[in-house]
Amino acid sequence: MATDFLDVNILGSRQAIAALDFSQLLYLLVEIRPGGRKKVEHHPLNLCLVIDRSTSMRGERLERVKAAASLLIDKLGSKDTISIITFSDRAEVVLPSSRLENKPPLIARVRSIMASGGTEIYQGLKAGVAELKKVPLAGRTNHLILLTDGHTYGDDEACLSLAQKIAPQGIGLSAFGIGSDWNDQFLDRLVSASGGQSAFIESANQVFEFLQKRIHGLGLVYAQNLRLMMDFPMGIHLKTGFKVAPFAQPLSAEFDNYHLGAVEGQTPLSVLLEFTIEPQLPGRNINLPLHLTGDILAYNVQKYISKQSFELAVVTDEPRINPPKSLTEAVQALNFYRLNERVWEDVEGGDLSQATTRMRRLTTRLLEAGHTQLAQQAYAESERLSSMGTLSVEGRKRLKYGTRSLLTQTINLEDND
Amino acid sequence: MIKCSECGSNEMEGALYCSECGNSLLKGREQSTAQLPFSDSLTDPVPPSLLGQDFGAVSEARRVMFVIPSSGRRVILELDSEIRVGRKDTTRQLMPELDLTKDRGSDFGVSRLHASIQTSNRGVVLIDLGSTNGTLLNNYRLPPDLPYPLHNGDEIRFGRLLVHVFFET
Repeated sequence: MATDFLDVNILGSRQAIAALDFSQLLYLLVEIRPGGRKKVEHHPLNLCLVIDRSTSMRGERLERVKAAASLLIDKLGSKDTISIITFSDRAEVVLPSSRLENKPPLIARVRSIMASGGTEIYQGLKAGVAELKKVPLAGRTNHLILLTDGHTYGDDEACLSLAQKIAPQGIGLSAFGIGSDWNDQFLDRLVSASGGQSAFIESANQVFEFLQKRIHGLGLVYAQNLRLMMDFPMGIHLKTGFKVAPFAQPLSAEFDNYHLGAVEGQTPLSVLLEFTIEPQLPGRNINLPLHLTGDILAYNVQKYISKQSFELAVVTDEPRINPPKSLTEAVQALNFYRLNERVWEDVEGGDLSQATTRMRRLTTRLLEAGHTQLAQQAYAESERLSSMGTLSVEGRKRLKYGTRSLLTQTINLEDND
Repeated sequence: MIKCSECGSNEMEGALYCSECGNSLLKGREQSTAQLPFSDSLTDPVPPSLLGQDFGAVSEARRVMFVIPSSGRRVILELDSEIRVGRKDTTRQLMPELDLTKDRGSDFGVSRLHASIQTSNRGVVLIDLGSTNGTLLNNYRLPPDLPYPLHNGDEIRFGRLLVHVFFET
């Protein structure tokens, strides 16, 4: 008898489409929860912190990161393992893969980290992966967390190919950018291979909060390395995918797979999918398959496959669209995020008046939706655009990650504790 | 195709929000005008009472011309009946005579039914209809629902949208 290890719920923006001569859009909100009744257990964590110690980290940033790392060591359990790598122009193993039996000497090593040199992320990642692999990966949640405040130099591609290589081996990657000088697009791409998180830590004093939250989630992992197999009928294309919960993150496809990441505790892994559907003949029933594969850590099952589908009727008359509220809200949040991204495309394309208009519209929409703080930021940026023809780097990141986090706010997260 | 009622962008069938301006494309949903962050103007001083006084408001005018500098648009309307100022709302069948949709009224915080211009026995008057972001006449904030006389060359701000008025006799 097959066991349903995953409980999958699919909400659609519509149950039927009209037979039209042009392509149409369909949104699906897919929520994946642990199946069965088994309580989610904590699995041993195998963590590696890869810390940027370049000159720009000197001072409060590095001190806060060191303090956060020390607090983490304090919080981790005796079955967990941790390693710490620092990098500047090269990488150093500050803490080799260690069990957390005797903590004070580990914390003392963290305290010894000093800032100097450039930012070469690849060296750090490579050394981090080597430390993670010192213990058997099976049965553990293996995760590398990168903390950086700058651009890497010339090794972007090497970083991305490493991230792609380690994802199928069961090693996840999250990346936190501190301050506003790091390359957000690069970090997004870096984590996408494993479905991990990239986030903006504006102020150094938030480092611990972000790390703790991420590690709390990782400690509750029920299933990992989840992928959506993209095997859709002719004329149906997955345009974009965006993870909504447990954190908001753009998804990316590779080898016909969408990397979704992990199901953490009872919090649903929630994904918003946007499909385009080419003209269809009336009377047809489209069966849209949503096949998931992944490793169920809680039951030690590898490459489990869950086959779900969404039925869509093709009718002659225009069906009424009455999507569920949670889906509408997620689409609206995604729309805010995209409007902001388009402002940047306008600015980069030199169309300042279009950029200003769009930013003003975003201001209005954010206000309508009650997101006053983000609206004020958007307003400040629209003023800056119209008077100076540019935007601020901080504003850019605040709006990008602020609108992104609105997605997660549309889901009622259940308490894990 | 769905045409966005706010910005006129063509969106794909099945879209829920306009990709150009973020407007909701779900039919029958009403949205209120957003209160803009620059509505600090709501605390601007109220003009000294002009009620009951006639400072020579335009009484002989037959037509009024509105000049909207930000969009460069000019609109000429007859003064023989009430001129409502706002943004058209097809779902509510509201078609104000001076429709500021094209002048990006929404971005500038113009309410759907923002103000009214009427010819009274004291001449042509401007009345704010309790708009979300208020109406300023020559930089005075008008209290809602009270008539204020208009003069040739007056400067009005509906929300944040600047409009000049000129009268023709």
